[in-house]
Amino acid sequence: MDITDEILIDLYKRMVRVRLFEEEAGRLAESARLPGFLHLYVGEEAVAAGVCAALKNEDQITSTHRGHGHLLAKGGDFNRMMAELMGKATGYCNGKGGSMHICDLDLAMLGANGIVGAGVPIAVGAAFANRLTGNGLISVSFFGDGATNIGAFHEAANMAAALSLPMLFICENNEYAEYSPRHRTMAITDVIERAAAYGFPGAIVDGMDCVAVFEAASLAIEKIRSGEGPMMLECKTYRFYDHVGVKGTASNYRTDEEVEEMKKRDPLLVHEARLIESGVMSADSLQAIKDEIQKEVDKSVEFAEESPFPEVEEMLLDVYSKREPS
Amino acid sequence: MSPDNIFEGANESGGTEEKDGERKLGYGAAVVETMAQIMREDESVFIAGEDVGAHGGVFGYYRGLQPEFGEDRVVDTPIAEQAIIGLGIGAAVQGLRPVVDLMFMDFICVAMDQIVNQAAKLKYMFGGGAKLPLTITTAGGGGLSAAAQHSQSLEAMLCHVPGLKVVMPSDAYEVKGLLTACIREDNPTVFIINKRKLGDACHVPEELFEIPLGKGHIVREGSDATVVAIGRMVEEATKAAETLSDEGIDCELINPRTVQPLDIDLIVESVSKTGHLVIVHEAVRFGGIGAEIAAQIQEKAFDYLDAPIERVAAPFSPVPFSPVLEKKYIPDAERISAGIKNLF
Amino acid sequence: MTTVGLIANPLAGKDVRRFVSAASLNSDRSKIEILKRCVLGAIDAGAEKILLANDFRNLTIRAVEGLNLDGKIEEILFHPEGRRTDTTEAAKIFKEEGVKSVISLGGDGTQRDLVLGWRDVPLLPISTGTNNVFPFMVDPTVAGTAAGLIASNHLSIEEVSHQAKVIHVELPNGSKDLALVDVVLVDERLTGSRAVIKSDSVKQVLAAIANPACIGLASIAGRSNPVYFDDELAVSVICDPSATESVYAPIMPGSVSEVGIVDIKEVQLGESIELNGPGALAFDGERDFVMGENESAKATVLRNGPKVINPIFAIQTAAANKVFLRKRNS
Ligand SMILES: Cc1ncc(C[n+]2csc(CCOP(=O)(O)OP(=O)(O)O)c2C)c(N)n1
Ligand SMILES: [Mg+2]
Repeated sequence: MDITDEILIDLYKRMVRVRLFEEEAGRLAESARLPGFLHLYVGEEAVAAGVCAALKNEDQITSTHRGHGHLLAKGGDFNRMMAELMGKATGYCNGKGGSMHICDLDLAMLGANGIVGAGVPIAVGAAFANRLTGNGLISVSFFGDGATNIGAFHEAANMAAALSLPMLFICENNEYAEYSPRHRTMAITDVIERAAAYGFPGAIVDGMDCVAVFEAASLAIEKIRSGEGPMMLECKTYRFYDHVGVKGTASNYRTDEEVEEMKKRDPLLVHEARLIESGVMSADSLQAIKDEIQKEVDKSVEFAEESPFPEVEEMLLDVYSKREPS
Repeated sequence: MSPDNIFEGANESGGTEEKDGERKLGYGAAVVETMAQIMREDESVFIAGEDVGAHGGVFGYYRGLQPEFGEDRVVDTPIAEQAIIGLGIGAAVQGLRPVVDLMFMDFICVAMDQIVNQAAKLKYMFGGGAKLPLTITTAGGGGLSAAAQHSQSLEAMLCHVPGLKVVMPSDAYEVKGLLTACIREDNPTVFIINKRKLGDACHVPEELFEIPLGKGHIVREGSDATVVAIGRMVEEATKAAETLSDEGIDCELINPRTVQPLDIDLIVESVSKTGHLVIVHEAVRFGGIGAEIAAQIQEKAFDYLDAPIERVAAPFSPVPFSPVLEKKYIPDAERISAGIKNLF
Repeated sequence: MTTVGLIANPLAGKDVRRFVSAASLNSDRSKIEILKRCVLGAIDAGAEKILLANDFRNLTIRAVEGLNLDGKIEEILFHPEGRRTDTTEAAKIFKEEGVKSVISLGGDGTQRDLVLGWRDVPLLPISTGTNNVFPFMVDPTVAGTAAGLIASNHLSIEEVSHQAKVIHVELPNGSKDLALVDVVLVDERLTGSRAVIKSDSVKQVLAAIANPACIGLASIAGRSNPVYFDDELAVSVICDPSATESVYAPIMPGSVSEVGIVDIKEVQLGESIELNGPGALAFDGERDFVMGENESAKATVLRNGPKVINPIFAIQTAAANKVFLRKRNS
């Protein structure tokens, strides 16, 4: 698990892909060019980047309502993603799912999810299949701090532990569930205490530092792959924008000072400083990476805007699978 | 509508306004006003749900309650739909009058055991011993590109369960009258708020009043066809009826207001006059409320029917995200008109 | 005023070493229970005041909730930010307030943070961390009693404490740092998740306490050439995976690794030792500073650290002095 220059740069690119895509999506939503709800991941990039970089491509992940980051960090395609956000036929879900349901089965991304906590049991199922077929893969479920208050999470955690499944639980603890601060909805501060309750190990890591996340996830993944059962990594992180959309809502559930304070720990800035300091990359080459990715983002907007909407006849397609002729 | 506006919808329509000497109130604002008035008069009423307190509900229709009634009676809960309903059931059995909120109607699925196996059945299973004055509020309906897990109309599932009452206000006036009736009712009720109606205002009396559960309302009298429309579809059906009246078809529009119990007598009476029936709802057509109404009408008013019963409803698919698809998915005035014309 | 200071590190015992070793999780609740027992023990032993250093989890404050200790509890004015520096800041305030003894919950890293704020603090460290060379595993009621007896002058600190050694480190950037147990140079270019996990990344261990029975990086030195708390010595071990000699050492709980040993050298107090880059320096088990190719740090071990109270010895001394026998009012 030596952290090479390649890994450091790879982590950076993954984060920048998420950040720039989402900033663009946020702008589009602000100007009413995106339909529906948009839950932005900005601020939490180090988690998705650090974890996905530590995975094999075929390892499955399940995601949340805040799912763009997970798919993009796993290698998701800007065009299909942006087209989906606009409800176009060329989108990841042919325009039927939208932001909350993006998925890419080829990348083993088993879907964002509109139901809080619902992805966790699904990852248990993927882990079960991995073990039954002996394919050597693991599954990962990303979920928020708030999601660990719902029954689905608890049933899944217990089952994963009882069956000793190859599954990594990633808690993205951003201290809020919608507008409720964590301390108002649970009597513990560290979600890993819930892993301990079900009998598997959990550890806390700085979720604003992609290297710390990568390192911790790699350690856990190695153990899980070797058959030690599930583990939980709790990433202490923060979302920079509002629960939905970009700008703040009426109730002052968190202060501007708090947000500003956390923005000082922006995972991109933290990593950029490290890359420059350690001589891995110059400021110019970092900018070049950003420019390159921004171009791709711009292209994805063009692609999405030029793409057709789905035909009305497609509405009733894919409600059921057809039995394939044998 | 941008996502922020969706969540702020109720607030934008929040105020009351005086127009032509009539007091007008928004649909969302009617929820807050009713809750506040009831909570003032009855100390046993409290509300619990995700973000209903400090934030005032994600749709804003509980805003202002916590400042007035405090954290003990306006309770922010963890994300725990099963436990939220259970909290209501346990407190109701203890003699309180809980209102518990499930935010999006889709989330009732997470709490189905507590609703279906517990709330609905306790009284019966206990031999009549328990009383359950429980109100479940939740926002249903589509039209906001909220996709398949945030747009459903699941009332038929609930109506199928003996022990529950299911209420679907179509405007602010009904919000006030029906919510009051639900909270004062001694049985579990599910009060379905339509999230696209939040901003619409109409005349609403200042003082509390009740609209009896199980009593429908004739929105518009007519002689040619009976149109039964549920929830927000009342608005669309009204438009359709107006268009058709210009074309010489005189529709009688019925709003059942509650779908369980259902005021079938009112519909029978109307059908026996018009000889034609169209049923409109946002939920999928298969197994929807329309199927039940149609079945009962053929049982009770078969001889009066001059044509097969027509249903205008959503097709059999999950609610699509793309606005172009969703627009075709949810019935509107145009499709309702077409449905009515099919009868002739 | 006879005051006992109380502090706990909420993050101790929760890092990634729980994945790669058999380290257990120390929950907030268990820490609160330990704190509560400390308070009760200290009050019973005659402490007039317990000064709480708040932490960002409110552990100390939650520990005294519901205890009816009329006026004996006080909080220091201080805003914890959830960082290591919280402990250091609190230590400074304890010192200013003239606290007679400090009970501190955490592992070696936590005690180090405390000593950064008050170098010769009268300290009763209780183990709730991962590596616990320094703190004691002891029943908290007993620990509280010991700290309380000292605060209330039933025992003198000189009688029951031993002053610890400190490894003083001058970093290449001119700043100063310290460690209580060990400073370790590892072949890493980043601080990452902080913990040192790979045994073959260890290049050099400088240990002030090298107990062969301990867990952590210091066990490499401890099993090569033991140096105990009271020895006027330290030890430096140069490691290399390709060395011909090796030692088996439990660098994490339940995880014993083979470490190649090139050189073992006893270090006198006051003598300076160089730790040459490139690599990351870990202080008491946590990577904290990265050195480049041509950079080096200078370390010197001195006996000028905290006055560490051994709770068992303190209680035994008190019993021998008949401190626990009281007259009954009849
Ligand atoms: C079952 C269910 N209940 C409630 C919601 C509404 N909701 C959407 S996101 C959210 C908060 C989730 O908090 P957390 O898990 O911490 O994730 P975060 O938004 O902070 O990333 C809630 C309550 C939902 N989508 N599903
Ligand atoms: Mg959260």
